[in-house]
Amino acid sequence: MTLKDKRVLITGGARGLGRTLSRVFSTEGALVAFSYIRDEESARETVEAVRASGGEVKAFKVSVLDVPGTEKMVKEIEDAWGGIDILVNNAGISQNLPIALMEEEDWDKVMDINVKGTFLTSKAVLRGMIRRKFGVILNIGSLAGQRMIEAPVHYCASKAAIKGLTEAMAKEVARYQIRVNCLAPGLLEDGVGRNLPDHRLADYLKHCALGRIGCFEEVAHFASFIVSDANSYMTGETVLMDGGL
Amino acid sequence: MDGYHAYTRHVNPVLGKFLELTGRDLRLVHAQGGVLEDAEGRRFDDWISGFGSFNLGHNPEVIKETLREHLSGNAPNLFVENLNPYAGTLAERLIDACGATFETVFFSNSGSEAVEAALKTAILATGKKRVAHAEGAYHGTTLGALACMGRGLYRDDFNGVLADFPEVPFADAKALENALSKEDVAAFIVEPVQIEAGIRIAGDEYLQDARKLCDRFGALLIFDEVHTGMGRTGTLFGWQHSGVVPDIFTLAKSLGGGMVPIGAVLMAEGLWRRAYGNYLRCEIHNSTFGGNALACRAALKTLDVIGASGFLASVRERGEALFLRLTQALEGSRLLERVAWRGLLGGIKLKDVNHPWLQWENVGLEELRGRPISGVLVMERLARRNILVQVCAHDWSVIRVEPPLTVDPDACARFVDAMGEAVRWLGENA
Repeated sequence: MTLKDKRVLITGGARGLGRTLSRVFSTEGALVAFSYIRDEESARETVEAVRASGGEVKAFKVSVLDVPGTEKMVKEIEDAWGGIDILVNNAGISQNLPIALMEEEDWDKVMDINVKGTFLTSKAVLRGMIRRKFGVILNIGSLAGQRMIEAPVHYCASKAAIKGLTEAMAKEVARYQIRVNCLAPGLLEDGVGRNLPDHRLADYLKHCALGRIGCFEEVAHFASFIVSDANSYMTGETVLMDGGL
Repeated sequence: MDGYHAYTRHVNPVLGKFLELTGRDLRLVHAQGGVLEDAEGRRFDDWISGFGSFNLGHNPEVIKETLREHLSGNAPNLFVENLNPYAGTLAERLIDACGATFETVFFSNSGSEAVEAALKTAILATGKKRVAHAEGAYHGTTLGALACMGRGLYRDDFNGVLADFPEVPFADAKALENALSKEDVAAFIVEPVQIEAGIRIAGDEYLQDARKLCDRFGALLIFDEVHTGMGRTGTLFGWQHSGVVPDIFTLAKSLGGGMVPIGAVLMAEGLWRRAYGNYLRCEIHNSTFGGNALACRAALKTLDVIGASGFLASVRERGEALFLRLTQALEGSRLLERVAWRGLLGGIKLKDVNHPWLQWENVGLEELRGRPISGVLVMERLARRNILVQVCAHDWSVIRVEPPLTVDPDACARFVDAMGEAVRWLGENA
């Protein structure tokens, strides 16, 4: 168990990659708390999935942009478990909008949730980590923030911003023995990749060395290694996981 | 998996994902009148109205109360091989409402089924095998109804298995005369307003000509009123505007008050007997749940509401007020082609946009290349302001306008304002 007794908070944990992260981290021995914004039924299913594997889990309905709500969530977790060792900033959104239809409000919404939300949640959790002089933060980036691919510009910009945020934050908090890294997946089978037009997917697969899209399970297992103590000499890094594009 | 995700996985994966990607995957949890509300408390003005099913708005209290009262009485719901008093009463009410010589009503569960029944009745009653229909028509997606669908997306893949019925240009009496002149056509089926073709209103003169031609060549005249019936156009049935009485007409959608599915086919005197009138044949067209008590009770109450003094006059007044304001708001818009309406059923036809920015291939939907995009772009603009609209199925350059018949002035003002802004935006960016 790579994460035995680690106390983990995962944002956007009710569905998709967040749910798989919650389940895999739990099977690796972690106590898992996750936040979600609206999908209560999915959150319940995630809770059940984690509990079914014998893990301890807490769910919080709070937006990453809700500062008092996030601080309250962090305090509740710290009161219950004595602290948070690992934060995974997974919550994020995208909109399938070309520049022509993208309005300022769209830009703000994506940047707010993906970038500002990562900053705000990190800030709320860092206070305790710095006090305890230990912590790991993993930001979920994207291939879209690293390479030139056809994806909405606000989404790409937000994921590129997360790479910069990761590097700056890693530098600033390293002195407290806190590591900050970013995992940037390529197309995943249950994510946006499933909705690509056939020719775009074919183009991706043509250039992908492994010739397939990835799955949440693969990302979650690698993430559990990145945040584990076994990976103690890596910080400020953005790791691409794209099947060799 | 919650029900919303299960929909995307198991009901319509493409639509579900499209809604998700475009941010329109609303978790709707509440509906009242003309307003839908999602799980986060956001409210949306519904100007799609279930494609004509919510003439009384969502969850009308009077219909709910009727259904509750009916359910509490434990009356039989189906009267299989027995006399059905609910169907009988509803049939009588519908016939009375026509003010013309209708005699028989067949009940089904949907508009498509009603059209099927109308076609079969016409074929049996006349002994002829072909049914003429209009270009641009939309009568439903079952195979019989589809044989009367205008050419295009909905029909073309099925051409090989569909009956080879003659299609005539809409509102073209000469073409209709040619189609009927061989006297081998059982009926001509037409919508008094072609909704999916872009809110095209059949003129009174055309309908009068169609009536005369059908009489002359021994064909029946069928009006498909699935969408235009039940007060949508400001009269109870759309054909009442022209005074042209069909031999057969169909109803569905709002007949059930937006709560219960029900369709109906009204047949002129003697027709049913000619088609089905002996012991052997009287049940060769049937529907197990057609005319079920619950649906009939909902329909009877719906007729009460729409038939109440002043209701239809208010629909006409609201329609005039709405569309005049809309016309003013859109006046001078570079891309506006026309605004057409009857009662509270209307359409805004837009010219298509030229700028390469605003083409399907640039919004990630290359497979839609070549189809009009202007109406869909306006849909997107209105969705941003929490107003839900839809384009016409056969013509995506036309935005359909069909609020509940009880729509209030504030909702109309919001709609006119948002539509004005959206069409202006389109004109500036096209």
